[in-house]
Amino acid sequence: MNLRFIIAMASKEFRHILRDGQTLTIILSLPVIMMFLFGYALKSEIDNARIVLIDPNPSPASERLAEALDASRLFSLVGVVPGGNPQELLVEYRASAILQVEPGYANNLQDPPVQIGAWFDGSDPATATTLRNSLPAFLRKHLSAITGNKTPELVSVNVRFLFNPEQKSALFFVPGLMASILAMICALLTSVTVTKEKESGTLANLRISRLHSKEIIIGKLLPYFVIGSVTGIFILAIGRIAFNVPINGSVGFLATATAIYIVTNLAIGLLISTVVEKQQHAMLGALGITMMPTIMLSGFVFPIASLPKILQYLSEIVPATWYLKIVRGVILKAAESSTLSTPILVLSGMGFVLLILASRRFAKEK
Amino acid sequence: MQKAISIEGIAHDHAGENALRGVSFSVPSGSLFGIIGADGAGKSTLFRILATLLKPQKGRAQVLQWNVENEYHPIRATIGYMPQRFSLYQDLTVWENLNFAADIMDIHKREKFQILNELLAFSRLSPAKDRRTGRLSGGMKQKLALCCAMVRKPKILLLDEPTVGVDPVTRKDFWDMLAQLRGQGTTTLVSTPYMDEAELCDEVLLLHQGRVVGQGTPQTLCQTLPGSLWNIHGSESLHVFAHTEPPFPLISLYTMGGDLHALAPKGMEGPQILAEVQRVCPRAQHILEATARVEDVLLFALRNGGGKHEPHL
Repeated sequence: MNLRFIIAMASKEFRHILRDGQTLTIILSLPVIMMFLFGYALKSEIDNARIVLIDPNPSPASERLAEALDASRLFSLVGVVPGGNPQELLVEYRASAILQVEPGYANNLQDPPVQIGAWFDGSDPATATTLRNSLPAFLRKHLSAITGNKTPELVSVNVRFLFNPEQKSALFFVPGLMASILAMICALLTSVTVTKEKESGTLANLRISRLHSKEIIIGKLLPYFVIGSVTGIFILAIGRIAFNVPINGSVGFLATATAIYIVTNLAIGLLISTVVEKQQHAMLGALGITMMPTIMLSGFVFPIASLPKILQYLSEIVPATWYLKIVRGVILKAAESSTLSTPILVLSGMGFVLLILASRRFAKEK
Repeated sequence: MQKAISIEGIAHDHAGENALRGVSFSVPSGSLFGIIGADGAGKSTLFRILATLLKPQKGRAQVLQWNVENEYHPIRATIGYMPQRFSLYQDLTVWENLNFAADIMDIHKREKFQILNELLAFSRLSPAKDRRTGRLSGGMKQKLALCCAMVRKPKILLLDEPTVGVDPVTRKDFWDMLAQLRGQGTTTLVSTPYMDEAELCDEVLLLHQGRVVGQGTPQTLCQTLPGSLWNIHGSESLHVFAHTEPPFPLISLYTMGGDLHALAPKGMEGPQILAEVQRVCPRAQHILEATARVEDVLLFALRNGGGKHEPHL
C-alpha cells in the first residue's frame, strides 16, 4: 500500500466535499436539526398539560387540589366546572386530561378510599401515555401530603423508569440519534460518492490507474470517517450543552465503539455501491438498509422486547442495535467496559465481515 | 512494421448492445489509426477491451506484447485511455484534475509540474487552469481529458470519440494535437462517427454492427469503389429512401447531405446517369463527377453487404 496514493485520493475527496457547499451544510445541520426536533418538538415529557377539573361540590379541600394542579410545572389548570361530559369538556377546553372528584371529596379524604376519575385525550397518544403515568403519581403525592400518611387507592399504572426517573427524553434520544445519524451519514455518503464515480465514468480512470483497490477504498472512505467522527462529537456536544446529557462512562470506550460503528456503516455504504449503478438507487438502498432498521429495529424508537419475534431476530443483525447498547450503557449507566464486551465484540465482528465483503466486491468489480 | 495493437477474432456481446462480432485488425506502431462507425457499431466496446476494462468473450487482443486478458498491469501502465463519456471531476479545477491524474499514475513530484505545464501549453488550456472543469466548454473539456490521458506520456493513446459534441474550430485544434503526437511517435487509436475526421487518419477501420466492413488508408479505401462516383444536385434538397433499389445500370444511389451520390459503372456518361436518377427522383437537375470519400466507401459497404460480410478491398 502506498501512502501517497491514499493521500492523493483522500485530498481529492475532501475537495469534493468542501466544494459541495449544499451537501456539507446538510451534513452539518442534520444533527442540529434532528437534536432540536427530538429535543423540543417530539419530546415525551409534558409541560403545562391543559387539565380541567370537574368539581360538583366545591370545598376547601378540592380548591387545594386545584391550586396544587395549577402550581405544578407539569400541568396547567384551564377550568374548574361543576359537571359535564368529559368528552365535550376535552374539546371545549382543548384539554389533555379531565379530572373528576366525587361530591363527597372532602369527607372521603378523612375516610378513604378517594376516587378520582381521569380521562385522557387519546388522540395525542404521546401526551396521554405520559399523563397516565404522571397524573396518578402526582395525585397520590398531593393526597398523602394533605391527609398525612394514608394512601388513597387509585386505579393507576405505576411505571418506574430506571436511570431516568424524571423521564428526561434527551437521555433516550441522544444515543438513538447518535446511532441513526451516523448510520445515515456514513452509509449514505459513501454509497453515493462511489456510485457517483461509477456514473460519471471516473471510476474507470481509477481502475486503470496505478492505485490498488485498497488504496482507493481507504482514500475514499477516510474523509467520510472524519465527517462521521466530527458529527458524533457534534451530537454529544449538543446533547451536553443544550440538553444536559453528560457522558457518565468512559469517553475512550465510547470513542472506540463509535469509530468501529462508523467503519461498519462506511462498509455498508461501500457494499451498496458495489451492487447498484445509480446514485438514486444508492441513496434509497442506504436509507432502507441503515436508516429504517436503525430507527425501527435497534430499540431506538420501539423497545426490542415489544417487537414481533421475527423482527427481534432481525434486530440482532442491525449494527445499531449493538451500538445503541454501548452508547446507552456508557452515557446513561456509566457501565464498565467489561459489561459491554458482548456488544462491542459483535459490532467489531460485523464491521470486519462487512468491510472484507465490501472490499472484495469492490476489488472484483475493478 | 511493428504492431502496437493486434486483435484477432474479438467478439463480445452484452445483451446485443454495442456488440463485437468477430473483429480482427492490427495497428502499426506510431500511426494515427481511426475506428469509424455509427453509434452502436461496437467502437466503445472495443476500446474498453483494449483498456482492460472488459474481458473479450472470444478472440485475442494484444497491446504491444501483452495480452489484455491476463497481463493488464503492464498494459495499464502503458496506455492512456480517454473514455467516450467525459470522465473527469466537474467540481475540481483544470489543474486539480490534471494533478490528480498525475498522482494516481504515480508521476513523481519532481517531474509533475513540468509535465502538467507542458500539457497545459500543448492544449492551450493554461489560461483556464484555475477554472472549474464543469464550467468549461465541451471542446475544452475534451482537450483536458486528452491531457489527463497523456500525463504519463503513454506509448499508446486510446481515444473513444473524443470530438463528439465539440465545435468545429476546437475539433480542428484537437486533430492538430493528435497530428503533433503522431510526430512524437505515439500510437493513437481514435474512434469517431465523423467521416471528415476519417481522412485525417493514417489508416482507418470501418466498423458496422460489430463487424469490420473495410480497412486501409483513406486513399486506398476510396479507390476500392467499383465504378465512378457522381454528385447529383437539385434546386431543392434531394432524397431517396434508404431501401430504394438503384435504377438498373447504377451500382448504388444514396442521399448525401441535400444531394444524391450515384455510383455508376466506369464509362457511363453524366447525362445518362442523371436520366436514370430522375426516374426515382424527378427533382434531380445537375450532375457532376465527384471524388470518393470514406463516407461513400462506408455507405457502399453497408448497402452492398449490409455489414454481413467483409467486402473485398
